[in-house]
Amino acid sequence: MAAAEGLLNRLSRARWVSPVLLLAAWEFSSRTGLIPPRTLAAPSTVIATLGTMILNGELGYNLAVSLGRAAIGLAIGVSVGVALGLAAGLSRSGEAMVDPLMQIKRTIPVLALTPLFIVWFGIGETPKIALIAFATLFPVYLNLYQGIRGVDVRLVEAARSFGLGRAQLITQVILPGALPSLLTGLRYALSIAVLVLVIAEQINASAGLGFLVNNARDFLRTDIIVVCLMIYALLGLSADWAVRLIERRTLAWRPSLVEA
Amino acid sequence: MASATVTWLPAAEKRPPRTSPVVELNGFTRRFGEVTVLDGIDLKIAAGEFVALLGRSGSGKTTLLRTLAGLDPVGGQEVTVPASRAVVFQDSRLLPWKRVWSNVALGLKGADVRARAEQALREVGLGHRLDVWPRTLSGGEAQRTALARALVREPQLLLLDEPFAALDALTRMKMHGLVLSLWQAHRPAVMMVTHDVDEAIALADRVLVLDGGRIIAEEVIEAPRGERTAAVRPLRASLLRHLGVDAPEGSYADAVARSGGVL
Repeated sequence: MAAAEGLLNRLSRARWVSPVLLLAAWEFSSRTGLIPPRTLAAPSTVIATLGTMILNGELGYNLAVSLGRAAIGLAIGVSVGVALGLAAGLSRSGEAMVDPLMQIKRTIPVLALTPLFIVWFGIGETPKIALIAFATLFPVYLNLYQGIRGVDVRLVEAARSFGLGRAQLITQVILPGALPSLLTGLRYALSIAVLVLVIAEQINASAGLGFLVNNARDFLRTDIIVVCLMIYALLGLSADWAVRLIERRTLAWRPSLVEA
Repeated sequence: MASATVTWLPAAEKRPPRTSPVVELNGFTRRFGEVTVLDGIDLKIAAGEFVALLGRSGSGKTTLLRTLAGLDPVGGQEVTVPASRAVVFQDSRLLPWKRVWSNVALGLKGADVRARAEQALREVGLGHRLDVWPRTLSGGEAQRTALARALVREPQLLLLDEPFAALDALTRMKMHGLVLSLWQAHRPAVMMVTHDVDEAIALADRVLVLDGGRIIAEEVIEAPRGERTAAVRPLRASLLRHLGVDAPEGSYADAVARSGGVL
């Protein structure tokens, strides 16, 4: 009796219980016909579809296409963001040149540029990559720029008093000091990249996760749509995990991570 | 736990030789807008001499130190300072992303940088903390690291900007001993900015009092370190008077008690 009570008590506090209950209710409703498959496929069907899509290579191929787009867009966006952040952070004239433009750019929602990008770049790969690059540029720029400006001037001064030249100041004091901010920017950039990827792939794609979703919509295949939603969620998670890994490697000196 | 030994130095110390000064300022003036922070400072420091610069907050002492450190513009005025100089700030200013030895080695050139940094850290009693992150150091350890970072450069002029003000009294005492023994071993000219009269008397050959941007008093302490007890009382009272504290002669305990009654 006491044991059963203890189990109940523990279950009522476990965080995995409610998601499992939701899945069970969903499966039950699908089996009994409460939720028709064209509204939402049953979890068991989704898993089966996932298995099929992995086995026949459909998922792997389209995922690779999507990842390629995200990677190229991110690479461009992050590089340009870093370059502009360095220019604005390290020199007053760079700041005067770059920052106003970036602040103007910030006021335009990136996705609102989609029509213009389609006019400019057509409906191939270019507008998709351009959208991702354009969207990820800003968080990287802003965080790096503010990180550089936020470096403790007392540390810079001390380093200067020990005879460090400008190049050494930048590589040994300013950039390491701005690195935590840069990584925050990178984390934003990654999650934005996933978001923009979803939208960009709705533009007449012939491959990629977005293509799978569009096709599935036309054929009312809610199971495939849910599979793709899962994959998008996993992309977001692994992006976050990747940045955490980089942070653990490069920011070992930070107090939260230092073992005293 | 390796700790710095407190060595009150033997009487056999020598006065610094009267060679040409390593630091020379003639009528140096510094203004921030309307405010004159330094007003016609004449200052000479001989090689190997230990000078303490006393002053209240806002007296201009930190500005003077920054001028000698080359951190402030001098506006075309002639300032003679040696090329090799190093500063220890009140806050240790270690780079948190560099390990302790690497902080000491910051900006060092030449061979065996790591070995030189290690040697300097051993000298300040931190041979066991070479590879830790600065954030794990205690306040005293951080200041000892800052001292090692300054001394590893073998400076001709060592500038100390209230380096022990933020430490607890016991740690401060150990640091005073450490600074004296390091100064004995390396013989840089030292200018130490402080507002602590006893610290100045214990360490320096010469004490300057700065007020309103002018040097208003200068006391040369003839008694060798370790034999200063007799000289301390009148010196203390006179220095405190220059700082605007009308304390009677006597120990700190009595001076505080009496001035408390007076004020």
